[in-house]
Order: sequence, then structure tokens, then C-alpha cells
Amino acid sequence: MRTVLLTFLVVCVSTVYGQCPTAENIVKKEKSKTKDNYGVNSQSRSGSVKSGETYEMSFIAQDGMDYRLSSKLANPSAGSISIEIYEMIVEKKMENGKEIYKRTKHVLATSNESGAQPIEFTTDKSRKIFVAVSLSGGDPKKPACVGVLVEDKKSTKLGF
Amino acid sequence: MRKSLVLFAGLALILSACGGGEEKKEIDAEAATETPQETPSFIEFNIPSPSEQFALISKMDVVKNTKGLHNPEAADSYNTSAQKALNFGVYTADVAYLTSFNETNKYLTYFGKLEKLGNDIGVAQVFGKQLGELAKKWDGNADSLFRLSDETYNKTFQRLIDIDKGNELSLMLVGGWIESMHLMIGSSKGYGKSPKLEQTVADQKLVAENLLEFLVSYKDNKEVADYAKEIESILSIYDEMACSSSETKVENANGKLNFSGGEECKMTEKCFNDLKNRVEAIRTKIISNN
Repeated sequence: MRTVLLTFLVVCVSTVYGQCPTAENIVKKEKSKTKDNYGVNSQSRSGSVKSGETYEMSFIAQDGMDYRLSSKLANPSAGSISIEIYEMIVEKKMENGKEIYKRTKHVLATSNESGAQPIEFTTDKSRKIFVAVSLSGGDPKKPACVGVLVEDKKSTKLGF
Repeated sequence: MRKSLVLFAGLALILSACGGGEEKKEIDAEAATETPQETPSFIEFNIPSPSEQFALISKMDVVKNTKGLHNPEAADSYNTSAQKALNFGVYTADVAYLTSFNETNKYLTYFGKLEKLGNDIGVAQVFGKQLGELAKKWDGNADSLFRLSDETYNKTFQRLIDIDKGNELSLMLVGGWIESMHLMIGSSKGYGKSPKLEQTVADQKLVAENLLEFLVSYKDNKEVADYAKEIESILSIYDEMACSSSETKVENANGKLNFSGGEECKMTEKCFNDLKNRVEAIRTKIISNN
């Protein structure tokens, strides 16, 4: 009860007085009943976004770690969100006889493809991950707080 | 009486936050609607904390490099806000290194210096009485102290955002990352003898890129701009690495995604040595009190 009240206070105060609550406060409103080894990664972030806009953040996923990505709105009635995980690929191309480098977006996962949230992933090498959270529905004039919670744990390698 | 006043203030804050604040939000939203270019596409760039980096390194075939830690006594010699923020980052990495490598005997000394500099840069709130008591209570317990260090880093990060001290935060990140690189490279058994560590140092290119992107937002500050150039100089050394690229593959294994492929960079001896020298030069600049 105390935790619920405290979370409510943090969410209310932070939402109105400028900053958004932390990603952990937004996403983990209810403490998980099932214990797992995931811990909150320091690269979790929150920010404000209006309907029709996208909140974007980038973090470094390290080799040897498993990641779980969750995103939620501080106020669930502010609209609905969709999540996209992508990386930027630098490609060398020839244009008019000149070598040029082009950055293109390569989508790795979306909230729809992966089924229900959260999205769990592991990587064979350290990589720079981008997360885009788009807000739809709701009032386009009112900014809403969105949290992107990054959790990690050491990978358990199976097999011999 | 004091309790009643605190309760009253708390209730007033809740009521104004959850009710009366609506009008303020509406005004802000209207202003933004009139000037749509005020909300450009923006990406928040992040880097792993020193604890997250050292947690992996401590399990590798490396040497414990506690001699490379910064002198805790030097914490009292920093006068400017920039020096304090930079060295707060340095000591954050030192504390993370100590706990990752089970060297807890020096923890309280370093934690005390962290608390001193933290108070000076405006994050006294992070170091409440409770945190200091926990540090003493868990003295010698590496796992608990490791979690405490990580929590201190995260709370400081958030507090500096909350109080709008982006310049100090930028410098803290620079100090923390340079010290992490210094300790990482110093943990090598020598080039070619700690291949996993060398790969981790190679992967730091990604961290340096995100750090530089973070600093861009605060480049109006002279010190931040200066250290952004230093990070750029490190990135130009990383360009010496041999990199190859393949298509990134995504496989779904029982709901868990596996990402493989993409760009892969290998460390070279020259790059390793050049990085070592550049990092040492920048670290010397950070820890000096001139």
C-alpha cells in the first residue's frame, strides 16, 4: 500500500513539475510477482511525447548479456504506444562515380512482431540499439510521459 | 508539529500536482502547437554505467589493476564545478572497479570522497544518511556494495537531470568513461594476451559515439565542448580498427530474439597502444587540479 501511494505521488509530482518519472517508476508500477534475474540497466530512460510523435533513445547492448525491453505510458489513458527497435547501418555506395556513405535504418523488432511486451533479446556482439516509441490516439496537445525500461542479466549459454 | 507541517506540505503538493497542474500543462501545449518546429526529432543517447562494464570484465582473463585507481586524497583539491563533476565520474568508476574485483577494503574511503564531491555538485540528496549507513553496514560485502555503487550512479544521473545540471552530468560521464577505459586497458595482460578484453575495448567505440552524441546537447559549455573534442580524438583512433560488415540477422527462439551479424571491428596493436596513450593524456588532464 505504501509503495503504491509513493509511486502515485512520484508520478503525479514529476508529471506536472517538468520532468517525467523514471522509467522504472513508470513501467514497474506493480512489483513483479515472479522473480527473475533481470536487473534495471542504467540506460533506462523516460521522456515526454505528444500523440502523433515518437520518443527515441539509443543504448549500448553488450555482448554476453540478455536484455528485456519494456515501455509504458505513465498515464495509460493518454493513448496507445507502439515500439520499434532498430539499428543504423552505414553503407558504402557509389553515386555518380563517387564513393558515399549512407546511413539507413534497419528494423530489428517491433512490439507487434514480438507479440506482447516486453521484448527480450540477446546479441552475439555489442551493438548500438535504437528504440522508437510512437504515441497514437489521445490528445495531440497534451504531452504524455513514456518510460523505456532496459533490464539485463548475464547470458546463460546452452550446450557444450 | 514538525510532522504535521511536513504532512500538510506533502498533501498540498499532491493536490496541486494531481489537480491544479492541468491548467499549466494546457498552456505549455498551446505554446508548442503554435510553433511546431519546437519539437524536432530528438534521440536520447545513453552509455552503460562503469559497474555494468566492469561486471563483464572482472570475469575475463585480466589482471586486477587497483594501482591504477585515482588517489582518493586528491578529491579535496578540486575547486571548480567542472573539476568536481569530472572527478566525481572518475571516482564512480573507481568504486565500481573495486566492487567488481572484490576489493572492498578501500570502498568506504572512495565512497566518502564520492559523497563529498556529490554534495559539491548539487546531488547531496542522493547521499542521504541512509546511503552512508548502508555503505558501512555492507562493508566487505562486494555484491551489496556493487549494487549500492550502481544505485548511486543511477540516482546521481537522474538527480542531475531533475535539477537541470546537464553540463555537470556531461562531465561526470566523461570522467567516468575515461577512468573506465584507463582501468580496462590497465587490466590487460598485454596486447594479444587478453583477447576478450581487447574486444571489449574495441566495443567501446560504440560507447564513445553515444557519449559524444550526448555531449552535443551541452556543447555551449566551454568545458563540455573541450572534452567533446577529446572524445572525437579517441574516435579518430578507433577509425584505425579493421572493421567488416554483414547483414544483421534476427532469429526468434521461443519468444526471445537473437541478433547476430552487423558491423564487427577487431582491435589492432597500434590502435590499442594509441588508445592507451590518448586515454592517459586525457585522464591526466582530468585528474590534475590546474
